Amino acid sequence: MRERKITIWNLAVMNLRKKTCQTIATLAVITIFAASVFGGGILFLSLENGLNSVKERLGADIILVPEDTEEEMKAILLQGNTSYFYMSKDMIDKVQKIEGIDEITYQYFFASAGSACCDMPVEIIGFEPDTDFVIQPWIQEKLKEKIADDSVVVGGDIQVSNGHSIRIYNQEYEVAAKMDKTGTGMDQTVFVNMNTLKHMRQAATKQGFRFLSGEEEDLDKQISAVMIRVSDKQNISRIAMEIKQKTKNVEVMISEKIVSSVSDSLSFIATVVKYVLFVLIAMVLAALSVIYILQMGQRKKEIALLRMMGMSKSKIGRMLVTEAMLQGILGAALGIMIASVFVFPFNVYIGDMIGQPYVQPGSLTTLLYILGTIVLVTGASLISVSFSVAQIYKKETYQTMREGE
Amino acid sequence: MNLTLKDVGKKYTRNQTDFWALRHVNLSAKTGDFISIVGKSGSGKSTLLNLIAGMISPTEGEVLYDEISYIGAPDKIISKFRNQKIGYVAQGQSLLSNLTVWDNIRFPNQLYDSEKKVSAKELEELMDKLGIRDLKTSYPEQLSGGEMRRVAIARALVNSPDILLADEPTGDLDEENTRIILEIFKELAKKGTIIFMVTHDKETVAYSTSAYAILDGNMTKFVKNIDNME
Repeated sequence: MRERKITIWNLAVMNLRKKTCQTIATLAVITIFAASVFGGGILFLSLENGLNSVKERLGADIILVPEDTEEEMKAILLQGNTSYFYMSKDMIDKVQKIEGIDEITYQYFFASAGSACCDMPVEIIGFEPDTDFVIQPWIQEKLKEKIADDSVVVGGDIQVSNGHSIRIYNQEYEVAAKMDKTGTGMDQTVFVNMNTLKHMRQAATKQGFRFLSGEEEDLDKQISAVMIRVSDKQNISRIAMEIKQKTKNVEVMISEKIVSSVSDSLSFIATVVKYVLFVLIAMVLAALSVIYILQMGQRKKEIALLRMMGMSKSKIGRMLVTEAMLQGILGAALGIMIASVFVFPFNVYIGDMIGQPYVQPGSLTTLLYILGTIVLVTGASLISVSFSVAQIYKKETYQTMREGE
Repeated sequence: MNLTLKDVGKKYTRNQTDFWALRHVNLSAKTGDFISIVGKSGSGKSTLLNLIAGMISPTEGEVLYDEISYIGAPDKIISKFRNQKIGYVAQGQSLLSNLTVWDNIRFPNQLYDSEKKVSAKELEELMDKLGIRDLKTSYPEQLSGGEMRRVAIARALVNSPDILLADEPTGDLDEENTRIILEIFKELAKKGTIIFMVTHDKETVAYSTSAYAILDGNMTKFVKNIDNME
């Protein structure tokens, strides 16, 4: 049997294995640090992605909703709340005459019930494919042709139990496509064309459900929101003001302001995360440096014995650096695993809890962030051990040995 | 090998006051010498061994190995020289607690890539000679004082050094273990190793070919006649 060579690497591994308590204590500090850096980072990246997603998905420059329903509209857009409100379809005619409007369309909001008739309570948005410029371009990422009658496109968070259809008011509708997650309310929304929506409404009414928009025949006269895209070079605020002047009982929402409210919250969270991270790094560097210096104090005799046997200062330094590096990598890996257990499976819950658009980063970004965390954490461990290594170079071996006796 | 100390002195600073641990030490040793060093605690005996081992540099004078001085040489050169030419048995428990007896003994032989690699068979023969072969897989914490000392001696001998330095190697051992170790030293000296042994025990001095006493701290004087050592 070939004998294992005692290398610096093997020696470092043996030292870490045999000094179990010291290794566990150091690993605990490094693991907590890595978990905080990784968990906090993924949280921040998810919020940033959420903001970008909102910017991309809002589509319209101005949104008109019935009076006193602005907050409900925001909740539908950002948090996936189910809600419906209606106003007269005449609103489109009033608004589209205003100069500077490039495109105009409408949406009709409806909701499935939480009872046995439906797979789950979701927001249902009906849109007109011929005029739509908000939902259609997004849906086209997954569904190249126009959405057919009696088929639906579902948001990224909606679970399609049998894989191909969804039951709403005891009717099965074919799921034509499932969208990627956006971190917005659209993830919990079902999108349909107006013909499908009418079928859903009829089915609901037959089963005794009543809606605020009144009777069945009124469906063609009601809408929930008007979406407006302003022509290039036109002032959005000016057009919004003009709409306000020419309409009654309507809330005029400017998309940029919805985004900026999210952006303000994100910028606050970013500042908090940044400062917490700086403080954490400083604390961990200090704590690890103290831990390594204390451990060196306990290892003086061991170091002196290694010197007696002819181990050079640089080899001893390399041994200590290898130990710190191994602890750094292992602690980083453990920290990332622990943070992942919480951050990834509970992402929907975290997003709901924070109340902001929340989209987890993709695989490549996550992988890069894992590598970044390992480099940062291992780097911190190496910087911390450098003070201990410097001590070896400062002292004569005999002095170290005497101190260790 | 010939070892020569020429007017060697070592000065330390304690509480901002300088003091000489050793001064005006002149000594020469040649192949086969078994030299005992006696003296009171704090008289500079261990300092002398550490000067010979190159673990500290003299404040004045020089230490010559075959007429070559290593003072001022890079740490890598001195460390490698110590690893291959000098065996050191330190005072007290001096084994690496993280390694087994087997790994402790072969450790100095693994530190540098040299042609003088010791085979497993040679290691077992060395352990046989010291009566510790059965302890191969034990850790230091499982050994008695005498066993630990014999393992430390085996480790010091693994690279077949020209000089063996032993700092009170029998200090805490019973008569039987003391005798075993001193016989091993005597045999080694016969085969050509220069041995320096620091001891408090006058009876062990009888095994050496010559003895020196370090007297009066700063002012150091050496005598060769064992009977005049009081």
